[in-house]
Amino acid sequence: MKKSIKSGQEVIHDFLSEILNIPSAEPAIIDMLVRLYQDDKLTERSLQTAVDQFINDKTGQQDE
Amino acid sequence: MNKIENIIIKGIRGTRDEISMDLGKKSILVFGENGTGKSTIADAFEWFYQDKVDHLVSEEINGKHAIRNIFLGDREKSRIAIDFTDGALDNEKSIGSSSQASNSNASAAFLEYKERSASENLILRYQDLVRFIIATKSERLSNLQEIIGFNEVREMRGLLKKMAGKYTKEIKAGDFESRKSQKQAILMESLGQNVVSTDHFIQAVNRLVEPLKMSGKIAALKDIPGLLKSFEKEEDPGQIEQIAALNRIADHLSELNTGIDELQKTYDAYHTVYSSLAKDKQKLKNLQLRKLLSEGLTILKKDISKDGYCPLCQQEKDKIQLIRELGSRVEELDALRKEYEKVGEECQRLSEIIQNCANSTSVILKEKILSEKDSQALKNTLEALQSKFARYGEECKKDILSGEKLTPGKELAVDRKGLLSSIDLAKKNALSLAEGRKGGAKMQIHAKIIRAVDAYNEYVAIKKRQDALLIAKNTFEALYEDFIKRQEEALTTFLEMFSAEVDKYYTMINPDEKVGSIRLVPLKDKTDEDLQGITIQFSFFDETHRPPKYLLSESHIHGLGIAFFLASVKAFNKVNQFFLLDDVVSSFDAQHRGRFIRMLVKEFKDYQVILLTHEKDFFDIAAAEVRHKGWQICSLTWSQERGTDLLPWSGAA
Repeated sequence: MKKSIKSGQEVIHDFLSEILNIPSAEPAIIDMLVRLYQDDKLTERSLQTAVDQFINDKTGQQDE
Repeated sequence: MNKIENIIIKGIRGTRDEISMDLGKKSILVFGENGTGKSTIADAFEWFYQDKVDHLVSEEINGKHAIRNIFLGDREKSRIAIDFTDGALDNEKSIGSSSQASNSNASAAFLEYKERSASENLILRYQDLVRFIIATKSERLSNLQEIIGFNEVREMRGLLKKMAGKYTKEIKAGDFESRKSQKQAILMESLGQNVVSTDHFIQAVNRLVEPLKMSGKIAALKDIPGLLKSFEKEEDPGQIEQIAALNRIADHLSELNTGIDELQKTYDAYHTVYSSLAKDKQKLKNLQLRKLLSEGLTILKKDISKDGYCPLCQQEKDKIQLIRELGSRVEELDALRKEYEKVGEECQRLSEIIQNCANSTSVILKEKILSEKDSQALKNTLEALQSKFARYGEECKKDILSGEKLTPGKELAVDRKGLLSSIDLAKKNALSLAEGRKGGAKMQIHAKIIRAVDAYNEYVAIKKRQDALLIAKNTFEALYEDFIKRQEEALTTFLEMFSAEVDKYYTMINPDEKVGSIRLVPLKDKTDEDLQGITIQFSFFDETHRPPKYLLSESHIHGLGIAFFLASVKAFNKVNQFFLLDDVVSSFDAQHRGRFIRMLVKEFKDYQVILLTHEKDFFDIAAAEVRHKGWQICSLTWSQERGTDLLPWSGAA
């Protein structure tokens, strides 16, 4: 019965290890998500702060 | 996995003196009539692992005081000591009259063991049997996800969904397309063409200044301030600022004109959801009742109230029936609560739009030129808009539960004609200021360049923000889509295997009955996107039914509850190879009791079972089954002097 059941952690681990293969996902945001999870700091607020910073950086970037 | 060598209980609940269960890894069958302290063993066991006893929680804070035997002296401690096959985990837990509990084993290994054990399925009581079966579909999903360690998965899924939703909302609220069109309209007016790149912009400015036959051309955005300065040398700076201010006011009013479209559309949407909910007064009353019903349900499920009575009205009422009725009413009201939350969300969106409009109007009202007599009409328009926004704001403060009605959108509508004529007026005033001067053509071009620079910079900023938000939105949508596939796949695999196990135990207790093929089936919401809950499906006279509570008898529901618990023990208990069953067969007849004990002995022969019963008939059936299978058999007695005593069963009938 236990053979092919995945635990919650295994589901998340598989997701995070294959996350870079997801088309149309921004690598910089993926990197933030993975890093926060690995550092055990993944909360709605921390992720939002990181992504908002990414958006602000992109918005503030000078034209070449 | 861990088994129990020995349990000593003293001074807990009904046990005053020490009772010792020298198990030596063996299973035990214990008979005890009501009041002999049988449940004390289950309570002490629960307290050892959970730091509380669920059904005592209502008696005192955390039920701690209720743990102690009432005849204990202040200096005596209540305690339970358990020795395990892994001696490093042996522990004595005690509690004194101050209700401070302590453990003798403070090792990291024991702390980890205790933490892991707290989430294992170690105790099943009669009153717990129906919990999973009569739970609502969402509670079932939540319980199972918790048991199988899917809490983290649920949180990750919720987080990804929330983030995708947040950036979708932000894009919608940002109204980027119409804001970009607005800026392009200004660029068209100023430069005579649309501009989507810096090169375009530079070319357009060079074309604009061509008639002035100036020496050289600008090559980059950074050259524009120099170009403007060369104009300003010959002109009155005060007047230049006045022209620029009037143009800013015209542009702001044009922007507000578009913003007001969004404001009125959003208000209409808010008005629709608000009024639809408000018109059904019964719904509103029910919404307020939800909290009470939900609390009542919790109390009933925790078994705090007396069986057979409604805890609120004290009328006779079957408890399971009451839980079923309350459960389905709360579930119905959950849909209503979603409607109520939708009203809140629309109100929040509306408030944000009102705030944006009001803030930018406040900024423009600070333009110095508005204090001049000639600009009074423009000032009046802006102030009238401010008071309109305040009126919209008042509507957001209305409380649907107090029966307040919203003002119809038409009554709040902004005077668009007045707004459009103010835009024209501001532009006209700017133009006549420029034309009224010597060298008017130069002034006009200067004013156009200033407007165009502002509009282009704002266009670029809006586009950059829109692009960045789109990246975030698309990323989280893609991550969410991938993640839900993984979660559902894992959950379905688990449910299929778990269902087979539940079906096996249930069928062993109830063979040749017309109930079978029990399966746990995930349910999705109306959008077919979100997991909403889990239902229990089964066949009854070869027809598929769900959920079971409407068709099955109490004893069959209890059988299902036992099957779920036992399947959970096998699936999820990773550190402990024992469990305790307290009076779980009360609703079974003799035949079902016999099948139950045979199933237990056969399927759980590797486990250590602590089986407690107050029913002599079942005890006799069970004793006959387990006596040659290496089980210990004991009975409990109670006296005022000694409290509870555990004695080996003599074997006499």
